[in-house]
Amino acid sequence: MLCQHCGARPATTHIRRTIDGVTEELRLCDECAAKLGYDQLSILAGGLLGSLFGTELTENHPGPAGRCPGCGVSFEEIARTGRVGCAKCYERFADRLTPTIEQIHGRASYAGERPRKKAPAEKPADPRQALQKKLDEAVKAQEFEEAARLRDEIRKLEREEGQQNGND
Amino acid sequence: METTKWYAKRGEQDDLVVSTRVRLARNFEDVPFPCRITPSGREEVERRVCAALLHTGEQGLPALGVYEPGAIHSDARRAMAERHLLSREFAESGRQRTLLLSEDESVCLLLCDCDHVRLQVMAAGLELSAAAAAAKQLDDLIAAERPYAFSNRWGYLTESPTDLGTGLKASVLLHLPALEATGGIEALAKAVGKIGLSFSGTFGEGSGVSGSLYQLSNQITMGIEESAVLENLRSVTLQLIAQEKDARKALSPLSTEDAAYRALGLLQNARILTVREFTDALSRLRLGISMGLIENVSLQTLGVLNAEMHPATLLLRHPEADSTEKRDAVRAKLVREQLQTQ
Repeated sequence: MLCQHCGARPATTHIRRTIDGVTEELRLCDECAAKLGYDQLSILAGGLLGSLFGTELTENHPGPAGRCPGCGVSFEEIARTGRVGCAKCYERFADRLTPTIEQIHGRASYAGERPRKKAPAEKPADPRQALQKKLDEAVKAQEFEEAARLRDEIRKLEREEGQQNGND
Repeated sequence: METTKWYAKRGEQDDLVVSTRVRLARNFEDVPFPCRITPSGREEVERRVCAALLHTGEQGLPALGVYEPGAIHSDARRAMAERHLLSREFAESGRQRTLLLSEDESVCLLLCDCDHVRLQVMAAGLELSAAAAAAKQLDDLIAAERPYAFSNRWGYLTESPTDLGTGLKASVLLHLPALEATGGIEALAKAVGKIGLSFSGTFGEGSGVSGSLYQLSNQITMGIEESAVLENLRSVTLQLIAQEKDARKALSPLSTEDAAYRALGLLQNARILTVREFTDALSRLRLGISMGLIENVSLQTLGVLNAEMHPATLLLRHPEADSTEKRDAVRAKLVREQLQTQ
């Protein structure tokens, strides 16, 4: 299909806008899309996301309804700018972001690879796990004195950890 | 001696596929995204990425140079955009960001702009798996430094919800003069759109597609594995290549040869070469080489010419060429020199 604006280049951008309940569709080439102000950025910032979030914003959630604990952004700000503040926003505002995300990506869920984790060897090993293993072995072998000593050692480690984490 | 740039190398099907690009968008889970980031958060992201990629040169990857914000002035940024290292939008914006760049320009990372990390790998020819493998290697190194923002439901979390998912954008730049001439492009753009790919011309100065170059890229980042994205893109690219080759059979061999030699003559002799004239001639020459009609010009030379003769890149290396007229003359001289050393 050719661009509806210049009629010369192939249309690469599909724009659907709803103004006062009337939906209009436009198919434009990159150049005309940019010229008419429908470049990627403005669609996100002002148009598409703003209007997708729009009804949500005014009808269901009047006023500031809490902020993200990670970055302090409010959902209203995300809706206005089309920009999510941090990873935690996706949890904090999951219920309100989901409809928009589904409009963009469909209902398909993620199917790609997972990020590589740090190699286990690089992590400091938990000394309690090793002790617990020894304890299990001692109990099995009915070496109860050794088992009691190991149990005390594990408890001691747990107490120390509790203190480090602010007694929680 | 200067390192060979990626565009002066060979790759699979490089007579029709000018280049391959693989880009990944990533963020760390514990730092606010760039729109909410603090100066210390920015420093932390830069520190992590630099630490993770400090020894890439010894890990079978290109060594990376770090360019602090402001280290690359606006003309150099424009030149980088011409060589597809940065987006035109970013180059023109004046935003100052840290960049990591390999000397051969095959690897470029932009930090804390749209996302914490925008990592891209470029290669000559159709090299999707090689480029993706290099990107993955770099990606794994960064991931080993600190966990990425990732959710089981939405994949890699990004500042813009439109980029959620794999964060992978892969593209190939194709030279399709015969399909363009026979009017087959429009139908193709429509057809690939239906299978989640996007197909668009690259526009130069004025109207019309510049040098018959078209970009094919994936649109979908959710509900599909990275390997499937790359496989789809590769198979559609191969189909386009086959269609282009078919369309070439309908061209008159004598006119094509004539056009290619006229283009070569122009490039070897002109004293003034505008961008438009240059890209058109280069396109006809590429077609001639690809069809085996011209043998004494290499595709590497074409790659270098294609990358280095655009206005900002020329200006950067030849500051005296400070007007369009002067640049057209410098371009003509440099092109003549390149084609003489053949």
